[in-house]
Amino acid sequence: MRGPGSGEISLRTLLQVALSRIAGWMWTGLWAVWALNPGMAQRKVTLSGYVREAASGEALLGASVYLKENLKGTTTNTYGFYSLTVEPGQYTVVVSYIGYRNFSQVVDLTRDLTLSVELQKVAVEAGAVEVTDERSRQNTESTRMGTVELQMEDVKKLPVLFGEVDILKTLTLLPGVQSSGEGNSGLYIRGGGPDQNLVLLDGAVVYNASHLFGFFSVFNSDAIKSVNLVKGGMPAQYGGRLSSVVDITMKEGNLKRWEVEGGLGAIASRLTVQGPLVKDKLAVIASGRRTYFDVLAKPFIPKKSPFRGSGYYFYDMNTKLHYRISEKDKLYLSGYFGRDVFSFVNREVGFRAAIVWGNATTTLRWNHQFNKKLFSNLMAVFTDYKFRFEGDQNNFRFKLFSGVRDYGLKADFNYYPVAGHDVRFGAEYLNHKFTPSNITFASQITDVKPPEPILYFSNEASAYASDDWDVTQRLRVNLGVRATFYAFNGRFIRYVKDALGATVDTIYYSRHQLIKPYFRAEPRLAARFKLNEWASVKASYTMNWQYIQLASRATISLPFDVWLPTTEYVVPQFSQQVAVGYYHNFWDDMLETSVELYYKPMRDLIEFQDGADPAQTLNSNIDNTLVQGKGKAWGAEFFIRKTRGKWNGWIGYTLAWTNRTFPQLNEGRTFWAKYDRRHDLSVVLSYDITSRLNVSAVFVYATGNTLTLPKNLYFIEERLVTEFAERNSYRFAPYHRLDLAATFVLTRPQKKFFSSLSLSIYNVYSRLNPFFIYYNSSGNLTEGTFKLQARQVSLFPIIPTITWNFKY
Amino acid sequence: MSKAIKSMEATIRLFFLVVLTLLWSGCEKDITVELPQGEKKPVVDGRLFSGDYPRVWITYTFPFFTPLQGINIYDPNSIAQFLALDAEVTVSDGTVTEYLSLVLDTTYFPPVFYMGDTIVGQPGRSYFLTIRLHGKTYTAVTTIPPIVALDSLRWKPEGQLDSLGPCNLYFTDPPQYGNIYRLFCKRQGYVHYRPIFDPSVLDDQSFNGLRIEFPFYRPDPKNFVFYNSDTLTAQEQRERFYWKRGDTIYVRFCTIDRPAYEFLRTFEESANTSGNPFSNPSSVKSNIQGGAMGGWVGYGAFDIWTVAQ
Repeated sequence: MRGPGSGEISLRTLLQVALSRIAGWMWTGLWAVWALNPGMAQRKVTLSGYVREAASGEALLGASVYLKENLKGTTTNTYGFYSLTVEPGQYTVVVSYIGYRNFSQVVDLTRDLTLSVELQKVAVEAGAVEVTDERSRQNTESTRMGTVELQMEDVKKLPVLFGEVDILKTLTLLPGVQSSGEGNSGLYIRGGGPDQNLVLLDGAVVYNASHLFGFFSVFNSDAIKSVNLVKGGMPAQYGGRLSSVVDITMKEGNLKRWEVEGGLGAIASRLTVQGPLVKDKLAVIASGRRTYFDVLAKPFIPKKSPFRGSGYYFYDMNTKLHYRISEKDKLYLSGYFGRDVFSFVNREVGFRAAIVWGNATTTLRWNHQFNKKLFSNLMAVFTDYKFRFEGDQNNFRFKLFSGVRDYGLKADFNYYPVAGHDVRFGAEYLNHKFTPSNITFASQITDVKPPEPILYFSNEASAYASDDWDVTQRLRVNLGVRATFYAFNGRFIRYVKDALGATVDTIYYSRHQLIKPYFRAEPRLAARFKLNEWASVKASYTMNWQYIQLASRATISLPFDVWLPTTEYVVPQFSQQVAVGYYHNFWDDMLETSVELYYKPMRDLIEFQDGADPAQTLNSNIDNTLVQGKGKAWGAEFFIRKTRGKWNGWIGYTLAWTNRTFPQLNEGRTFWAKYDRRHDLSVVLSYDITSRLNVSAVFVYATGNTLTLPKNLYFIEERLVTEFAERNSYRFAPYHRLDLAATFVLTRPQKKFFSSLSLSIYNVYSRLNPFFIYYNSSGNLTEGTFKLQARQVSLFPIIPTITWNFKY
Repeated sequence: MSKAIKSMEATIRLFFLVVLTLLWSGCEKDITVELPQGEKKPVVDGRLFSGDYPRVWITYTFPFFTPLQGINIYDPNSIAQFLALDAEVTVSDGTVTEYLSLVLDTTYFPPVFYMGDTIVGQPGRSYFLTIRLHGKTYTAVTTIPPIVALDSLRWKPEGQLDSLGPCNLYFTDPPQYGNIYRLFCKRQGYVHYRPIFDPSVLDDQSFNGLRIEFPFYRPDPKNFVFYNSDTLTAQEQRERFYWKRGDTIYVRFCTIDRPAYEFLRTFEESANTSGNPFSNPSSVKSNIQGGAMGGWVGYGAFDIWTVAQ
């Protein structure tokens, strides 16, 4: 046994080195930005301010602000702030945002000016579709690639399962994003696994984004404002995951008036209250949702049943406080709390079990505008994912606990030195605590005492800087770099194993003792070249490192799966992505089209060894059972989206490949990944028949998931054992489905009370899509009647649901 | 303890299945799957208990959907295609080497196996198995660890069930790490000991040096592929898995070495998850060299019995 050695570098020294390096990089970056700035000496003036929604005062992010005379422009940041620095003169300022009436005003810019704008929503009136002269042209203008933003209002019009609007399911309708069908809310983006997505709710990581083993996502649609998905060309402010960012912003709370909205659905109900505690100063929003299968099922369980007391439900709550201290300072406090609760009782055999799991997140955020060019956002985040199982039978009692707890600080700065440069820089720090599986076990005999659970502690710090720079009228580039420092540290006990799994050494690390540090730098590059007013070509290169991962043994994600950090045994996952794309807008920007090609090599991905026993965590480390290998993903994505008019929607098609090569799996031969999918097509259409009646349809088609099939059988100890064929060498039948929905507004437009009825039909032609295959045995060997039959199980046939929604 | 976790995992999976059953109701259908053709490989199931002669069953793998209907599995002629009856099998303890010869036992499947009559398993010794079959040689080695004795057995009724319950066994694990156990048991009147429900193997990593209470249930007298569990009467169904008041319970408590443990653990895991859609296909870690499946396991056996009362 070894103790903490002398002469080892302490964590503090390393952190100091890391911080000084990071600071060095940042200064170099900033200096470069200034050096690139040609007209610094010339006098310039700055136009800055906020863009908000008129009715509620909510900030509008990504709204375009530009000057008609020289076509210099920018977009608002996440908090609705913009800043433009140009030569003095008279300009026409145009502010536009999809679904809102354009704002335009002539300003005399002789000195710095603040202009905050409130945009009016375009009323959807029968036969009178607003035609505006200026449109937002994000598709062809920005350097961003592989990025899609969805507004909750559009998402809510689409057909849903059991009346529950599900933002993650909607994301799977976009090209390059796959779900593995029903019963799994994991996202598989451009060939990456479900743990390679950074799911953020108001800046806090959500570790398990699903309820009921993946049937529903944890995001209550009434509390969500928008979702931004980044599947390629990840900007420097994001990091820590290989494949994507799902950045979800909660509503800020109405600063103008009180609003109550809610819905009664087939399995769950929702209620949201928001309004100003102090008008235009302090707003609050609180939103809750709970399912009621347990309540509905209760009358059907007889009083004498040994199972009485068993049940399942989930609930979640979102709250946010928004305090506008001044025009320049805003404070937000937001939180999410959700739990799934399952209880199982069998009195006959004296067995009771309870399984409870869920996330809690808290974000405290302070927006501060230092001056007209510098905007800052400081955040303190806390997130906690817990899974708890408790069971007892007779005198045996066992408890299992696993979870992840993070707290972190983030500082993000937007700096607008001059029109044509949007500089963003900042730093992040996260502290993780992982509890892979903590088991306590008690019986009548008192000396059976489990050893201390092994926790995993780690620290992650990063700094980034990027500049979105208009080099010429046609060429815009986004140059960025992200530097990360990760440390796996004590307290920790390492059990060193031999090839057969016997412990040969035990190493004890003390609290905060550094076990293994990793320094990495991630360059991020993106460029847009405008061919003409309507078309552009873009290219991007990103590099990503990922330090935490989900170890999953089952083919679907269960809350039982554990999150694990990079250790001295498991090295961080790494990926690079190159993408090129062509973007073309038609019909006055009403129709956006794009083609993107991507190539993404990855390495040090993780999987469990064959025959690993991850439950064996006592006097063992779970990472002893992991193996690492390479992966590759490539493909093409086609996207056509109609953004305005009575008809809108999109068509997305993806042609993709993704494979894996692990020396210890499949005898070292390359195999298709679980979610390798050749074709993936989604058609999403929505049509406003009248101002009160909207109909929509969704059609999806996807190549079947891969599967490992049995090959041979053999007998050992009078039991049948299966020998499997090549890993993932078989495919399920293709997945396809059509859903329809109609939303009918019951109240008149002028009335304060608004209510609507949504009818959804899921899987209209009742396609029996494969969920899994199992082998059913019948008969027996003794009588010579034994038979194996493959059976395919599908989850949902046609499911119609009605939901009543209201708002006043 | 790993058993407790397994049962938790099982409960979660069960819950998941219950939920799914409620949801899918009726969305199931038979399908035809074109399976890849696998080559036929020999399978070795070799055991050497302390105080007993070596016994080795040698069979072949067969394609997954092979029709097994109309076959009398206890008649070696009708199952000849699954059996390797022409192997040359030797066991050596390092000094003595003996040839094993074919024996017929129609109470077990497969009904023929190779058995010795000279070498008797002894704790602390290693045994070498060599099989020559159709020009190929397969070898394996196993060590019988020192025997660990049980203190006692005690039967207990479960919950509100007055005459049915599990049996507890009590023993003290030796102070050094690395003891691995396998538990066999049977009711009075049965010929063959059977391993307890998976996992029947237990590594002392989580209870090293402690005094242990361990409950075990009654395994089925034969695996379900040999009879239909739905042909059991209501009473048999209720009593299934329990020891009943009045039963004589025979226990064979064994120690095994680590390669044998890896083989048995992965074998049980694999046999258990066959066809389970929620687990990754797992492969068995054989301790046979030369390309055969299966294992060669030496047991340090301690026998004890009690009457449930």
